[in-house]
Amino acid sequence: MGKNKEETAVQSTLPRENRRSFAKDLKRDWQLYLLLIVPIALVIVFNYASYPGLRMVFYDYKPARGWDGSKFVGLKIIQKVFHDRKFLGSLSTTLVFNLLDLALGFPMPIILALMLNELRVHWFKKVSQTVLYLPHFLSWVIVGSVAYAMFRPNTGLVNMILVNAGWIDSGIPFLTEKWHWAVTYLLIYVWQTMGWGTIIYLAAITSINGELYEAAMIDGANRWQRMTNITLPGIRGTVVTMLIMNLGKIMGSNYERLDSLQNTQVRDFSYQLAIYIYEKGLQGAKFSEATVVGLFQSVIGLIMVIIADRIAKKLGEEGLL
Amino acid sequence: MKNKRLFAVLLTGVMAAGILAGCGSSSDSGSSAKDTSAAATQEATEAATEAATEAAAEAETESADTGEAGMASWKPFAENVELKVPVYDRGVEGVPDVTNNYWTKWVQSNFGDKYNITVTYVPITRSDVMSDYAMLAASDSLPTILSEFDYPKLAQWATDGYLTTFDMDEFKEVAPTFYKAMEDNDLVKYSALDGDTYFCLAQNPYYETNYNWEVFYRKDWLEKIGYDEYPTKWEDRKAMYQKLKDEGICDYPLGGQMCTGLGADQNYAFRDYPQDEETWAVYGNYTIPALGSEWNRRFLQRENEKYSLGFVDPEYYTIDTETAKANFVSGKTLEFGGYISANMDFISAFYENNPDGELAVLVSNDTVDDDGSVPFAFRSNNPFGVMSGFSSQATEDEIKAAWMYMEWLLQDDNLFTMQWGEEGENFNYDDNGLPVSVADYDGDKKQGYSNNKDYWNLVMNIRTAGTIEDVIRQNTPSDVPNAEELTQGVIDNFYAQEKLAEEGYSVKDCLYATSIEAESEYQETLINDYKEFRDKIIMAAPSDFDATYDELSKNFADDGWQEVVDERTAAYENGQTTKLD
Amino acid sequence: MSKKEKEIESVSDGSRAITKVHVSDVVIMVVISVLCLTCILPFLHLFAKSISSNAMVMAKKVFFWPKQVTFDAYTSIFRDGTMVYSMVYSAIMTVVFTLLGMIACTCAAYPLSKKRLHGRYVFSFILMFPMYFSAGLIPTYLLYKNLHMLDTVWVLILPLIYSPYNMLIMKTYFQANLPDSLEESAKLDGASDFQILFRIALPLSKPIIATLSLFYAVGRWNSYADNKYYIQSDALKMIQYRLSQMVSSATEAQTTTLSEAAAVTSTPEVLQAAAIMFVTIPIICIYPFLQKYFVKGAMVGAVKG
Repeated sequence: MGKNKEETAVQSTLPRENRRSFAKDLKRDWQLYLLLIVPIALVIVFNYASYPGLRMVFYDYKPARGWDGSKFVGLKIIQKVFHDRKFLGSLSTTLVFNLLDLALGFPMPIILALMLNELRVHWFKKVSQTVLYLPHFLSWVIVGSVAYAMFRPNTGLVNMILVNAGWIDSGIPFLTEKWHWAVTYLLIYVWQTMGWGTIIYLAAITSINGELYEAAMIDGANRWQRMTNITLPGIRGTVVTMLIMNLGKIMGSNYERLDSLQNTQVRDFSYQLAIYIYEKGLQGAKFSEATVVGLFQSVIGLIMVIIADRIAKKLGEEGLL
Repeated sequence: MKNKRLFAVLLTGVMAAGILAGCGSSSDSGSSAKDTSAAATQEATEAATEAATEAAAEAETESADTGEAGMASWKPFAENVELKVPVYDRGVEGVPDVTNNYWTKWVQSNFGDKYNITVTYVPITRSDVMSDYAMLAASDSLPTILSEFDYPKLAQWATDGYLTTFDMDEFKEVAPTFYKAMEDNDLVKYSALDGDTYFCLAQNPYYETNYNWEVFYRKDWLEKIGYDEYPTKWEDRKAMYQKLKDEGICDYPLGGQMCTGLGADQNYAFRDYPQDEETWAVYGNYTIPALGSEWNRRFLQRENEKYSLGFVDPEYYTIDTETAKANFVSGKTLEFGGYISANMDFISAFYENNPDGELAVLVSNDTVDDDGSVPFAFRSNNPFGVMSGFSSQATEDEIKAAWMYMEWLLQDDNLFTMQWGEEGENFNYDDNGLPVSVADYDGDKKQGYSNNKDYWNLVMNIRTAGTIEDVIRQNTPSDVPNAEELTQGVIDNFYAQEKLAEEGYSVKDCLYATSIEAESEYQETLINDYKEFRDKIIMAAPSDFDATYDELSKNFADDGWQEVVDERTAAYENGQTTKLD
Repeated sequence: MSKKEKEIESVSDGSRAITKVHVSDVVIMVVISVLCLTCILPFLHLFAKSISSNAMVMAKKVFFWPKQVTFDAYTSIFRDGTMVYSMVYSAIMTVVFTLLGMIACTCAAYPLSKKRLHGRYVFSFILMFPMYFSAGLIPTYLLYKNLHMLDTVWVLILPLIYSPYNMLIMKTYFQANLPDSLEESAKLDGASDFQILFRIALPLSKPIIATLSLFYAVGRWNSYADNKYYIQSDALKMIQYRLSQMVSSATEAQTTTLSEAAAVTSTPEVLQAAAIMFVTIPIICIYPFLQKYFVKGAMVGAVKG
């Protein structure tokens, strides 16, 4: 897409010729433009049309009263949000958990892909790949219910087994004590994403030149050496791209994930931005506050993506934009 | 059969204090001048009610409404009016679509069509009431009636402009039966907020007792260690728990459960009776636990003692309700409390897993312990069931239609049919002429959750037919080994609680006629604080108890509790609270 | 992939280095097996629960093998019908959504894959920007309200059928797999852009169509938050939301308001397990058969996307 940017730049320096050729292009490519109308209409109606609603951040918007009945208050709501202890708390929790997600969830597919790549029993590889993809196809509702069925302190399967085996006396509060919950919450994410994540790395590994391995084996390199000296450098580009893409999501907050795994005992940690927006905005009917937080999330997210894109391009990878 | 039906209808009326059978002859002395005509009509027709009811009973369809009190003046609307009624959507399996089923159609043909009203139902997610209403408000599609059990929620809707005020006299004209029921149950005083009328309230018979929530204990264990009954006083109880432990019957007799927030940790047993009104008004409400009060100190001190003596599981704070239930079922704990119903899973499961075990109901009594505490004092329910307000987005006609709907629903025949269904399908009469629901009915006329409760709760909180003993019999399991004894236990407990209530040990919540801003601001924070703090206090070494309690009470006060206390005190001083009886 | 794999395998089979390190093979297989078990055992457990008796489940006696086998829970799900209805409804919604989604995606990806398209950069920007910047829940909600889409099936379909992410993948695929020469020769034969798209481009893009269809379908099938926000009517709620309501009604028993004080019954654990299995089994049955397509397609798209 970078090349494309240059093209546009060149064209725009020649306005007159540009215009003339556009009419010609339109005539030539009218069918393509016709196709484009569909998606453009969709984004205008369903995305761009929602942006004017963002002016809500300057109003004290009351759902039952509408725009006319709500007061314009300038920056008051924005100031209020940034002084709200709960917002600041949920913001830092979100950031910490997203970083931990990255630290734990990012390397796992790579490791798993390397291991799968080493499997030589063909049917075993096939079957295990299929099985590992399963969690990706499950909704958070199902993942959440399954997690509770596994980890409830007393009736959860894991605790039932551990207690029956006599290893522990009473159940471990995997989901009902905040520190345990944090670990469980993070590991469930790893579990859910690891299998699916391997696809892209396995693809990258496949595209490494097979002759490199042959040469290495002739030189007597063992499996570990081949992995660190050929495979890993071979997928470096993919790893960097994926890492950058993930960095762009650092302000994200998935409501469904939190909703299906949270409970009253772990609110210190489960109270993240998505929950804040939901509880404050919808349950507490404070629409303006929720919009401020949503906007803040979007703006930071956008900045992160732009930074990530720049870094990627600096490192010689293909950018995101 | 028709006599049985009539009998049942009349018995239902007894509970709906102030309707046909109950107060047919009482005069309307308290009514205002404006109301006289309606009231007169009502009285005139009430005389003929016996006959009318019989006629209604005779007819197969429920179309004998015409001529009933208050409704006589109604005329069909000239133009069709849409009435939007909220109904809880509880997401439970096995109930018909809440917005479209036999009973919603029944309402339409028996009420809506007659007055040119289209009744539609708006589903409200039970676990997410506030956000559903906020969404509806934002999309200008609030239901005509907004209803909830919790006073603070209604207060918030009133302040946020969802609700409109109305003139109680006008309401009285359209819905005299409903108004009279409110008056007879002394509910009118709850209808205003900051001096404006916003709400009307459903009746809640037997609200002063907690007969539908019982504690079940292991009678066989007590017998094994030589006890005939469950001791009342703390010293005796302590000895008993210790004996259970010493004889190796169970490790943690009381099991314990994590604190789940709202309504947890009720300190009623440890209050000073008779209560001081101001203290009650400021600290007595259950919506936020009153950490820092003397009452709560005594309560937590007792919990601390139980913990340090090893009567509760040292990791009680990880045990949720389901787990506690499982522990009881598998014979690890002495007692477990739950709501009664005809089909109680934990009781049947208990007997399947412990064929030799025997359960009994813990029956209250009015003992006063040596330290002055009243072990069985308890929180009474609100005197009303659901509170309803009316949408600020609705037209006058729509609100009138809403009032008509509520009035119509409260008429005996209509209410009876909504609650019990169709004879021969949803219910049958027993030998005493009382209706008995067909538990596994599964035809077209299948009722919604809990016998259509989410429809008729706008006017009445529980389903009653016959005396309270009949009600209890219908709501206790009959297919467990000692069903008779258990039922008797529940009945005994009802009378014991009734006695406690008479002696002033059944405590109502204080309600504020103004919105306590600090409550909505800090409630959530404080409840979460409380859960954390009370566990620390309970697990503190007994010698550190007071210091821990004082320190954490201070943190609690700083996190907003002090503001709640100040606002409540101001409300009390301005006379904007309900009073102790 | 498989070809290259075989090459490596055949090489390694003949090599001394590999036959020596048998231990590492075993270790890797064990680790992978354990990970696979974490994906299988939970469902085995839930399945065992769903066909056991309530008493056995409450007494915590059911692990991986059902006790006192009964199919009551499933019978009641089928007899009740609402779950079955939601399932069928959700399936139809998913199919319609996927179909419309692919149309919208193709309409955007195909023109943008043509370098000659005038204004390509502007259009790309317009079409990509919403992916990085959304107005958030509440402005979106008010927009849908103004469009009169709340509580209709369209709110679950239309706003999401155009996905910038999927478009990007498809565009990349077109660029990589449709050589310009192919188009040029078609043009020389007098074919229009439409004809090229339908007769040449799409038939050559089966793997990516299969993959993106799967992405669309899984996305629609699994998400439920939009049901929660925008849908009131029971009849329009999709199966995942139904399930989430059912599951949360179980925890509701603990947090329900004191004032209600009614007999709060939660869905029994067995019924819950059966409901979870009911919703999961179709997925377990379908996705392995699509694996060939999605792996191929995901690789093609993802490496560049």
